[in-house]
Amino acid sequence: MDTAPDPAVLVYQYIAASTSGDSTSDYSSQLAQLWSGKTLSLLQFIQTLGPTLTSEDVSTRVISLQCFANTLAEVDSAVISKQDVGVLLQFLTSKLEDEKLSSSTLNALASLVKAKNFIPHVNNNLKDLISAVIKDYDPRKHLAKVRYEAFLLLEAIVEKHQDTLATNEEFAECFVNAFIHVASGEKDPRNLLLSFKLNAEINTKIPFQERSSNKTHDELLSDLFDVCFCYFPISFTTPENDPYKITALDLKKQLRITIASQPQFSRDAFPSLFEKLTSTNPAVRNDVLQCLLLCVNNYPAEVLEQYWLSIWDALKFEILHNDILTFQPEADFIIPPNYESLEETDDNKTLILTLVVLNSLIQKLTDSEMFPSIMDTVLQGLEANYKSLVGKTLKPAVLLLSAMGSSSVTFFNRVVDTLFSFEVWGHYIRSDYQEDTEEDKEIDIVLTTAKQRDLIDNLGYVLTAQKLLGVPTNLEIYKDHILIFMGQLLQTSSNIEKSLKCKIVLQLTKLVVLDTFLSADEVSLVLTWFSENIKALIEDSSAKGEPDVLLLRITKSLTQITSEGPEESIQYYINSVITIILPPLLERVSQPLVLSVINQICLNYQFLEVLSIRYLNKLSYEDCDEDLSINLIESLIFSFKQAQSVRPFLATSWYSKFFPRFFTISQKRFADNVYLLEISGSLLGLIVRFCDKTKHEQILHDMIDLFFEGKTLDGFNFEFEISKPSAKISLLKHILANIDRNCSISDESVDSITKQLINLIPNIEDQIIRLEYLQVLAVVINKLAVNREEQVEQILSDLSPKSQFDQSSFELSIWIAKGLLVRVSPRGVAFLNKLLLDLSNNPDLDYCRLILRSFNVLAGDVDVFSNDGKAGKIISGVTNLNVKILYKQQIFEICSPKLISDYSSSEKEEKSEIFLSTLSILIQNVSAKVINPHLEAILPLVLNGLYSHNSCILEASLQTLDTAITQSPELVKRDMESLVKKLVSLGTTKIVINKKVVNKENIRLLSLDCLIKIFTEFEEAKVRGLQVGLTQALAPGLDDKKRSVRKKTTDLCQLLHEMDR
Amino acid sequence: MSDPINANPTIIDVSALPTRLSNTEEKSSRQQLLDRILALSLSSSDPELPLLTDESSEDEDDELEDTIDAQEVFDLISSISDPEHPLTLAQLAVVNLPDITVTHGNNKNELSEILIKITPTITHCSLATLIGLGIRVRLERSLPPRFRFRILIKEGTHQSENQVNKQLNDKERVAAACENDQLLSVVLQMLSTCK
Repeated sequence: MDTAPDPAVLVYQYIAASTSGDSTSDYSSQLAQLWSGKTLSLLQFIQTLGPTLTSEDVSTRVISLQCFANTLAEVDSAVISKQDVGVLLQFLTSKLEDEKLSSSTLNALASLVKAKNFIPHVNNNLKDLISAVIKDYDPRKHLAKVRYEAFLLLEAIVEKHQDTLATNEEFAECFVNAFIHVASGEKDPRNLLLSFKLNAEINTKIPFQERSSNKTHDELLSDLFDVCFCYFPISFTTPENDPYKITALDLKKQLRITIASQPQFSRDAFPSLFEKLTSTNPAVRNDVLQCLLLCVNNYPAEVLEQYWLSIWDALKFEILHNDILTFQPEADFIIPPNYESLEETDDNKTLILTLVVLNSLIQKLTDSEMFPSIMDTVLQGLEANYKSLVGKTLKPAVLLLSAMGSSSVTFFNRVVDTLFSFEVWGHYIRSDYQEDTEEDKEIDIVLTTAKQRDLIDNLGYVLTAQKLLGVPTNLEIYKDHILIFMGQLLQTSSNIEKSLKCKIVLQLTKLVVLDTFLSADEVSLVLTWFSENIKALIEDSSAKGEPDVLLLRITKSLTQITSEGPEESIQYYINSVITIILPPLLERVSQPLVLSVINQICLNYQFLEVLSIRYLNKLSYEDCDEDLSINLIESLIFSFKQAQSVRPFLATSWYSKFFPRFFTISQKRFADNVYLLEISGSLLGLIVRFCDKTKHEQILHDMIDLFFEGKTLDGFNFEFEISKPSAKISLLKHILANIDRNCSISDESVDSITKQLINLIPNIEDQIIRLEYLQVLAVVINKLAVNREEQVEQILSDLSPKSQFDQSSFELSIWIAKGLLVRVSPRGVAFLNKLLLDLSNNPDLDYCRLILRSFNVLAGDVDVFSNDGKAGKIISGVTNLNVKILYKQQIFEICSPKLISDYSSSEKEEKSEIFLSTLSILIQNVSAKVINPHLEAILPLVLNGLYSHNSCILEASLQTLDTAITQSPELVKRDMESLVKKLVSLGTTKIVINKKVVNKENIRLLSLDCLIKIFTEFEEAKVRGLQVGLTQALAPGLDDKKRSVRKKTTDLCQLLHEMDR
Repeated sequence: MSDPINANPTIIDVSALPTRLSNTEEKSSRQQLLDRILALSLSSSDPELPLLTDESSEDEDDELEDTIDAQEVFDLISSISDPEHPLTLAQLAVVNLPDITVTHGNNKNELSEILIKITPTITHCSLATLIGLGIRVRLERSLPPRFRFRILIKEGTHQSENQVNKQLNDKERVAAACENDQLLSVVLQMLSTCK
């Protein structure tokens, strides 16, 4: 076993380490261990320290006491007996006289106070300690660091002995005196923070007697208030090197808490705060208001009863005489949520905080006996303001009343009764008002539009308060009057008064969505008014060609009414909208804008279902012309998607009703209209995708029967022969594309369908129709022929050109390959490799260019292999795409290395052009993430290509460069200087070969685009310097033959000039 | 800033201004859809293949020229901001298409001239010279060096027409103005809205 270390050695080691600036904690810990293990007694320890503690040398004394304090902090306090405590206390308090030792003495005292055997009463421990601190510790003589120890000592006392302080008045007074002594004149932020905290603790833990009855306490409270309030308002900036990172906000918050912690401060706090409120600095005013708010929240109602009038008088003018634009009458709130995040220097925050304080005040006092007289005073005081419809203070007064009303039903009822009395708003709003007396005639009854607007705004505040209260109030008494007043105003006001009408619509909407406030009939009434306005506005707007603000407002209100609130009411509102609003709209569908209104309000299934039936009826009429049909179908597609995104629904039932009817109508009425059939197809496809997954097998078989087997089906009135090309195929294309990928048909059917399509397609002359058939073929191969790989491979090989080249077979094989490639079938990949081989080896340039173009199909996005909208599971459980997410990446990874090496080794310019163009097509079709790893290899080709005198290579290079600049700027910037130079020359000087311009207009534009991108997308630091002299270099471009080039050059120059600024 | 000289000018709606910019109408959704389908066709849509033929033409090159005309000049200056309103010169009818005359030289080596008459919003507008300077800077930056510009106040629209005209077209004074950093920054501010 190790022998225990010698304490004397440890003490000397401690002193030595401290002198040389090394860590000392190890030695004091060992000493503490010895002491805790009773190997070392207190007496021995003091003796060991003895000579150094009394040393003549100040630094030795300091270190020695520090050693003692550190050891005391770590020792197990159980070993310190009551007697030891007494001895130590005497010893340490005597050391307080030695100023140089104060830091360690205070620290040691704090440890001692926490010791188990430090009992306040025994030997008068606590009192002696506190008296010593008051007597011998003078904060003014010490640095912030030492003063901090004093605060820590007080904190230790409060923490450890709060019960004693709370019960023993003598101790408490003594302690408060010590605190005031220690805290006076403090300036250091860290100390202040602790000072405020201790002050608040004192206020909450020590019971002070009523000030008027106890003079001592009165003085103490005054001192406590002074020692904190003298810092108010705090303006402080954290110094850069502050290790404690104390912010002004920390200090402000703690100070507010402190001021609000003592109700007996109220006598001094309120007047002082009001005085500070007169400051012109919004930050100070906001600080005051937040402090007031805390006081109102913390002080008991009895105190507030005493001071409410002075608070009200001080605060009301903040609102009455200020611009209150920030409070919107149409909003759902008076106090904006998250107003706390506003800047402290924001003037609006002052206004908001004022209302918050008053709100809290009313809430606190609402149960008080004084409340009725409080309401009287408030309302009487504001009477002059709210009674006159002319004054500027009307709106602020109503805002004040509504804000306060929103926190107390009693207050709100009183406010409502006053405002709607005949003397105030009653004679404008109430229909039971009778002007029969002579005096009444003198009152100006005629409301000007401006006054009407103000009145509606003011009503808005009252309605908002009602909404915030959310319980029945006296407002219900005046409900009918309000409703009729607004309704009449909406109906009778001139149409030019848009802003008035918008305001009315907003407030009527607010009334409707006020839960259970309006009856069903009343809601219908409001909707009828809306409907009538819509009718008039539609005519109006259609004439003007743009939607009217009021129309937009009403549309928005309708969406709000049908989407906000509890489920039952929404159901009811939707029904009302369908019966009241929709029919007149449907009568006017041929007017522009009507459909956009319908689109906006169609937010749910119920509405959509009605809409679909009505539209279908319209579509079936002969007089529904092509344009209207297109608009209706597009509107239905939009509405379907919108309703689906608001709340997903299953469209399974649509397959038996809407689907066959719509299918029949669209293909009968628009048999040759490619576009109409195309969008009809998208709608049918959309419906299919949202039919339950289990239904899909049947849908697939139905469609095969209809399109390929020539069968008839119930509900579908459809004539189609697969041997005759028809635009109707678009319907099948979309339906097949949206069928679940796990559906299947028999192998024989697959083979027969494929065969029929392959036989037919080469004979279709119309390009678009041929492409529609080709897409159907690709989907069939992709989804239905999954188990027929070998047969498909056979077809591909049969189609491959023999001696004479045959474009239509080639096109067929490309589309079949597309179907395979999107699901990354090995046979598709094999085809792709073969295609690449042909591209590099086949000398027939026309064939190579065909291959080049085929990459538009192979790597491009085709509608049948992509869904618009966000990916993810849909309600029907259908996964319609049989597409591997990474198929494009796979294609790119296969092609790009081959193309790059082909390009590098190519000797013929025509071939190089084809390789580069192919690469460019791939790059345009593949996402940036896929290209990025390859850009490094591709970029040299591109840069090389810029020096070519071949238009196609130039174009391909520039397009790739354009992509590269956006997606991989780091790679491009390497050779920026020469690149910019080259682009400038391509953009401004013509390269003429054989009297033909090589860099044609589009190439010059592309070069300039690249330059603009370089200067806009790159951080300025990277392009700085490059623009020097560039405007001169670009000058020839200003005289270009083509206007578009001149314009782009001007734009670039303007950009460069702005960079120069 | 001091009170505006003309606090309440008449404003022309942007859509009512003559312009060539963005006149390329947006394709209808219908055409877009058909184009999207047709883009998948393998038939070549570009008739310009084959390349590098030895066809010779009379001209130096084979491009047709779009000559710089009044509309083009108008488009360059119409979107300059007014120094005291958040509106453009065209919206305030300070510059008008009929008041722009372009006189071309016989060929690109000869001088050409552009004459622009500006209409101040009020007859005592002290900012007319500043507006003129802004137009001049914009044109000098955007048009080839062979052009000379004359910017005049439209007859009878300003109290001190001759004085302003002199100032606007005095090379020395324009050069001096462009040396003045503060003035130049106001001009750049005006030009920052150029489309």
